[in-house]
Amino acid sequence: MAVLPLAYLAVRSFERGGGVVWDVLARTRTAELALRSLSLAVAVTAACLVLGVLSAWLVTRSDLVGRRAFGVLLVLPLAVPSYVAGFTWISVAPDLTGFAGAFVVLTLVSYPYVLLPVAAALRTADPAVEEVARSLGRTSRQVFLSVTLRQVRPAALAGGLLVALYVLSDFGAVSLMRYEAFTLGIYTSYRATFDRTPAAILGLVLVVLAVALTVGERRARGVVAHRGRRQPLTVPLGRARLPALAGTAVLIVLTLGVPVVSLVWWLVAGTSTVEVSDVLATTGNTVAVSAFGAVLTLLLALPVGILAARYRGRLARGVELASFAGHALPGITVGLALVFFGIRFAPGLYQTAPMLAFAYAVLFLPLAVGAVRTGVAQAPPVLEDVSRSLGHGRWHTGLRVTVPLAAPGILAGTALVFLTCAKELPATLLLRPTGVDTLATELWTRTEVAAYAAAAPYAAVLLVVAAIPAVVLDRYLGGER
Amino acid sequence: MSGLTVKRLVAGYGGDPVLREVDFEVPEGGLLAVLGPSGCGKTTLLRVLAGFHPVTSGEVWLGERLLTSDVPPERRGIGIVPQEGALFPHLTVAGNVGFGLRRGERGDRVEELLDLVGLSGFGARMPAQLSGGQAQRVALARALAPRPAVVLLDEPFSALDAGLREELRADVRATLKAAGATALLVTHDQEEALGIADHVVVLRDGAVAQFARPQTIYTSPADLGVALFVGEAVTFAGVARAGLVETPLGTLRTSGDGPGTVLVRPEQLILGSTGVPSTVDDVRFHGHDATVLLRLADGTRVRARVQGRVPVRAGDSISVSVDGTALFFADTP
Repeated sequence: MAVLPLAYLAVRSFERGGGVVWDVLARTRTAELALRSLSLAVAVTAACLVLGVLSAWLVTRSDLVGRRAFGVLLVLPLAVPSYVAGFTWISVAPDLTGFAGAFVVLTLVSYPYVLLPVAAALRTADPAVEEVARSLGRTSRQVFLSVTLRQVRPAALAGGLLVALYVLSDFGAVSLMRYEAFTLGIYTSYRATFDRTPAAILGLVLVVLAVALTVGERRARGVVAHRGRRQPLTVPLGRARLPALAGTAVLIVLTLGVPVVSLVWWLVAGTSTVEVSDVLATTGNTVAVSAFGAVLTLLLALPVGILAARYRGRLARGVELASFAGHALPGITVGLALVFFGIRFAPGLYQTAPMLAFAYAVLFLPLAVGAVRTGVAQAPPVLEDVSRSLGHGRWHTGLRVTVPLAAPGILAGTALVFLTCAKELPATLLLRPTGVDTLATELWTRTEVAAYAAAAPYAAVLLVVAAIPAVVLDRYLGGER
Repeated sequence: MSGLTVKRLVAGYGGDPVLREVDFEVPEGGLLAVLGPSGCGKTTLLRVLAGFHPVTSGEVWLGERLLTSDVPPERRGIGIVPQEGALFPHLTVAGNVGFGLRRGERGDRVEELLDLVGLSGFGARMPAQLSGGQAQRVALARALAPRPAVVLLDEPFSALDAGLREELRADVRATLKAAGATALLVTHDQEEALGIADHVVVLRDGAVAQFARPQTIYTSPADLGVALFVGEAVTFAGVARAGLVETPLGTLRTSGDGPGTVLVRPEQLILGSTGVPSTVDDVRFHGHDATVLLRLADGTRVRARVQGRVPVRAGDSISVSVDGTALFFADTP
């Protein structure tokens, strides 16, 4: 079902013959867009790999002062939606636009995608391997380069892939920074002309790019590091202590300080004409469409997630693959696909809440399936066997054993989907019911016309909404370990 | 409570039988150990008995009741103690033990069982706060609570360290006897099977290699394979004639006739002044006893087990003789 709209997008693209497709692809503008998106993706990914690996090593292996607190603070930018970060930067430094602006904003919000998996790999990698290397005569710097980096390579590449996919499909930051990347190109092409076929074709090209990236990363990933049982030793930083501390502090000021200070400044000093009731109404809209989307997503995810958790093999691997494909599916393409699909097959549903909820379901299904699968895995089948041997039937066992064990994970997953829906911009922009504005679309529209003070309250509410899953996720994952 | 009888049981996955014509019985209140290497079908046997795996052919009787594949697990009255306990992580110890009881009967019965397994006062704890041994005791109490006809234990001690294992083994046996439960325990540890059970089934490639008392299994194994599986051994090829067989350890008393394999247990070897001469290669001290590695005059190496103080050191010369009769397994033509 998730594939249906995409398939239709392909049909729609080729409807007027391969010649039209070729024309659109051969335009210099298409090549320009692709080049812009790819160069941005390469630059941001490279910067994130450096920032992510270094900061991960600092918070897991070094004796950096306050590394625990830094460990939490460094991950928080993940929760800041790119367009909120974009808004706060552009309202502080209006000259920072184009490639530089998009590069700065996207790097600062997405480096935790590398930091998180690399820190996890560094924490679990077998320290004995490094100790053996030391005992064979390597210095600690050589060990870092020849052993530690090799051990975290799969994690770093997986994280890098997420960053690259994030950049490719990002719409918020590039549109606010007026950097005409692929996603923005699709949107303008869709809005500007009556002929929407080029937009459909460009949307497909974006998916192809994302899939190619995913496949490339799988090839390059290599062998996962051996897991150790012991805590790794901490490495004294020595003279590098102060520079490391200063660098980490600067990173946090840039990623968290700038958005917060800028928001507070606009809220306090700005001469905003926004009524509190408007913000409340918009928040209400956001909650309504997000809740609808989250519930629909959960209903679709439940059967798939349960199957994937209970039966190993091809399906489970398919689900894992799909969760990556989900990251590769840009919101703008899904939105576009549903616009075409809706106009053609369900005109009554076009620009209605159910259609938007369905778009959310297509986008975030992998996220929900993952949560359901983890939740159900908390209730291993042997516990159900025990319950039945003690005289409880299938239903009773489900109620007393499986549901209580799986529910927290499933609920946390649903909450995560809900909040992710609330932050979603491009698909919402295309599919929202007429007259219904969400926090994300209001912020986007107001920033477009440089009404920064008026945009600030929406950004503030969004930042709060976005910070919640970071806390929930951290707790939930923390409990799992 | 009633005994368990298994007749010509066949079960498997797809067309591949894992259990092939398995026969045995456990009398009421008895404790049977199913012993076999991993992959011999032990776990499948347990799953069939508990009702989680269908029977291809054959019968399982619980007293006078035939348990066909249609009887679901919850209606069998067979309790299970899985590997590593598998306690419900979201319930307290008392909640776990009372899981199979009706609401009204919980309080007293839970206390009674916690008392029986030596954990009274632990009712309010969560499973995560228990040690491995305590978790196993709770799992046993949970299985016994609804007074099942039979309790099945799946390698219940494999995750514990050696000292704790021995102690818990004795406690579990005492608990099962005190509860008057009929029990079946599967394990790959021969010491465990021989040490805890009234009867032992040796399972090999899904078929019963021997079903007997532990003593019998050790002293009169059905074949060479069983003999080697249940304990250490010194073996020689030899030809038995009129109850005697020539070996590098001298002429030994045995039974059987014709060519075959002679088998002597390490504890049958006596070091002293009589018997054949040998040189001590090495002494391995185990605490409660020691293994002495000997080289005989013709170069054959044998191991002897010595209790208490070890009278020799590496390099010494000493005579070795065999106590009792040697086992003999005729070659199958």
